Amino acid sequence: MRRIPLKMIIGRLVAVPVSLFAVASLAFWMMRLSGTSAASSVAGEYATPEAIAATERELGLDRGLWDQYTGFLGGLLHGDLGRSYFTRQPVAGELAARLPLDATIGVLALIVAVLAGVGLGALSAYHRNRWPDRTSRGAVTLLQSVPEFVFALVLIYVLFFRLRWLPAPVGQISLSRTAPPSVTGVVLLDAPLAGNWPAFWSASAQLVLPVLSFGLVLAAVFAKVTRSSFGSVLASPQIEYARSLGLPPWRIFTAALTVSRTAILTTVAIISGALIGGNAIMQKIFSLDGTAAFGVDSILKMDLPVVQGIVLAFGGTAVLLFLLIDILILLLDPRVRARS
Amino acid sequence: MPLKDIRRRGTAAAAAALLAAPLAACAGGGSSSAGGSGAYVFALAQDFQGVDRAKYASEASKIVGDVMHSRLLELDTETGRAAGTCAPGVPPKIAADSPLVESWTTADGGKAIEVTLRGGVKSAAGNVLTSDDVKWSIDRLKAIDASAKTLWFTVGGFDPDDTISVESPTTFTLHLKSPSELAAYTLAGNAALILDSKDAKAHATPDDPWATKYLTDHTADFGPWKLTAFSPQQLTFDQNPNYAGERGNVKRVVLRSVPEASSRIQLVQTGQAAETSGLDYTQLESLKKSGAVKLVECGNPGRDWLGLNTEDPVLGKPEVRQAISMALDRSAIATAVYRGFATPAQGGLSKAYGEFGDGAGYRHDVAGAKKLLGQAGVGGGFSFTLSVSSAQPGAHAQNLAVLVQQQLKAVGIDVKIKNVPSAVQYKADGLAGKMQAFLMAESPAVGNPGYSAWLSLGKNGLQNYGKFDEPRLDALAADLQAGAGGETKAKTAELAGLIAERQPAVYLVDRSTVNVRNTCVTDLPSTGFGNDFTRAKASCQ
Repeated sequence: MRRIPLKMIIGRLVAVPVSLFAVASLAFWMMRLSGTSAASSVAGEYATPEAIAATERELGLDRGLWDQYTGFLGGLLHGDLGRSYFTRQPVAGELAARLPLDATIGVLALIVAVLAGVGLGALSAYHRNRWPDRTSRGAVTLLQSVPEFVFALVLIYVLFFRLRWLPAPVGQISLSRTAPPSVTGVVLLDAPLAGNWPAFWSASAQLVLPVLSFGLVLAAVFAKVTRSSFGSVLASPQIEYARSLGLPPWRIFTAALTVSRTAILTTVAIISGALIGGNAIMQKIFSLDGTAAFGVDSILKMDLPVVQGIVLAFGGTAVLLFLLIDILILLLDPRVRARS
Repeated sequence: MPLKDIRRRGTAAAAAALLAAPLAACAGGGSSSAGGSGAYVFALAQDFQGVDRAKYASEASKIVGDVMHSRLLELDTETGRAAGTCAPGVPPKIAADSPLVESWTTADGGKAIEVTLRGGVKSAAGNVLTSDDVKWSIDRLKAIDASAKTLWFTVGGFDPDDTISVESPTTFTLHLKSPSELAAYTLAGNAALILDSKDAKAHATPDDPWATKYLTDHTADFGPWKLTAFSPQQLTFDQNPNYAGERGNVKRVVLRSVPEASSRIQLVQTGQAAETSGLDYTQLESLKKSGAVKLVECGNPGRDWLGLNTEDPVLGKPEVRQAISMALDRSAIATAVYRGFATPAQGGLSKAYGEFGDGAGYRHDVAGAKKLLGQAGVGGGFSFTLSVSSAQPGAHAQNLAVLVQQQLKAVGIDVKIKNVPSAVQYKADGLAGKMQAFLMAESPAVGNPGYSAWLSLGKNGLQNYGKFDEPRLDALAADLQAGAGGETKAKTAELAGLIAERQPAVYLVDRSTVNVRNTCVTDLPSTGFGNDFTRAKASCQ
């Protein structure tokens, strides 16, 4: 039976709130470094100095920094992240409405990345220095050398503008469809819940380009890691022994892939960290209203409560995700378990 | 719905989501364009926080206001205008009536505007427009709309303490503190949105007496459109069935946020969007050659300028500012940066207001500039920091800054460019007088030389980031906003001369508004100050 290192897991769990406190404090003070007040913009284009001062009072920006900080931490303890200066809505609600979209795109992109990347990497390692390897390495080099937003724009130009195979990058649903009532904030999920299948197909088509763009760029990383670790395993004495026993190639292939899983899982963890909040530019390009794009807008608008909330949400998710992956690796890989 | 069903449906939704993407790709886009249903799709860069102008102000809110169009007065978009073009004249005239107003007239020596409402005008909720709606709308803006307050009481000249007297359900008088040329234009602008007070009050609460929550994502007014779907990415307006004003053939107006400029271009080129905005001049130049898109230029007094902080010990000297102005080759700027969509500035005021002076301070004269710098005691050269943001004057700001830097190098001025990515920070720094030099757009909401000058150079001007303080300029600007009593031409000339001499703002180019539309839009009544989507005629795919 597998021994679960409970002590280590509890230790990590205890560290989570400490990490979150540090992340929250960092977010608060970093955003105040510029000393810029959003009041002049919140008050409106034609606001007078008096109106701007009134807005500053309304937003609580006239209070001392320490007072604002303790108020922020006090709110956090009650689950209150404050209100956006610009949308005037509670930050928690704004994030809850957007995070599912980030998660959906992230998961779908990760699936594409793992399938394509691991496939390419394994193929490359298995046929090392032969034409499948050379072709695969060429594709990986190309994907790695092109910035992801350029890759996305090229895909849009070719697949939408030139060939008209895919719809325009105008968000989660095409211009001609009405979005179903929001439950999760993801039209792809809300549409079947509402029984609105035309909207579902439209939303599916809308997500093909962003998922492909993001997934294929990430696939390059998985391909490299898989080729490297899979190649080492294939050259190991264990696999040589298996070959000498006359095991069929597919058994050898799957055995080698199983041994490589730790490296692949570690890559999943690292990539997931990058996925959280890392797709802001892609969301902008595809007009998707995810948390990452919202975060970028909020930074530029100096919408402090939203930025603090997003940093906390992303930081917290990353901490929990890394913990989960660590536990998964511990459970799957006896070598790591023995070392820990 | 039972919980079990929801779970089952949720699982089905997730499973379907995973399977759908590749199938959808094979099926292609599969969507008919919005134009097929008589929709006018406008793709713009900004998203939407809400449609209540009192609470949500952004670039997008100007277009939203143009769509909502529940205004007392209307700009005359017809006189002298051919189909598919823009109404000429700055400022455009104000029409004698409007869908909301039967007639209006100035009274009491210009200190009052008497208005008679049109009978039977109804909101989408079915409530009839009365003077009480106008009064409630004014009370509301006084209470919570900082921008509208400025436009009504600082710019428009209305009396904040005694703004309106209601005589009957269809007649009322608006009072001014002193006569103002701009009062009627305020009533024809987005700051004068007349709300359906009965509908709004029905959604007010003790905590929210002005119904701001409801009006964030609902419309309650007497305009031609009713907001039927709201999301931060898209506003969908369908027809107000009770609207009796003139209409084109557009059944629906969709405002869609598409942040990426290249995607907006592709949308308008393919006809999936009827119109777009927020493109830089290089993109406009390439679109000009595209047969699928037409560019409709509307004259207005917009200008781009180089601001110099007058509190700076070097830049505060008029000779230095004049030298900088003469060192700039505006023709090269107009060609290289504006690609022919702007003309070199030739005077202290926009050419839209007429030609004033000989333009001497605006001619490219490197030797003259060096001489002036020598006279100012900085003949050996000096340096300053130029702050740049894509928010001001636009997407072309960086290119403009680099060209200014290159041209000023020829007279020994070392310009250091500082990029300010946040528009909020740019504005806050500007208002605080923190920027040494900056690039700005002057886009007056009303075509009046006094207002244009006050906006950027008046002591209390909203864009006076250079902290220029000249009582004579303030007096001239105020007189021109008031009407100047028959001396308009003389005072405009004096104002232009004063700006040309002191160069508080180094004007670079005069530019017009460029509307980017697919050829499927056959007509859209426009002026340089806004569009009337209600009377648009379009036959998009």
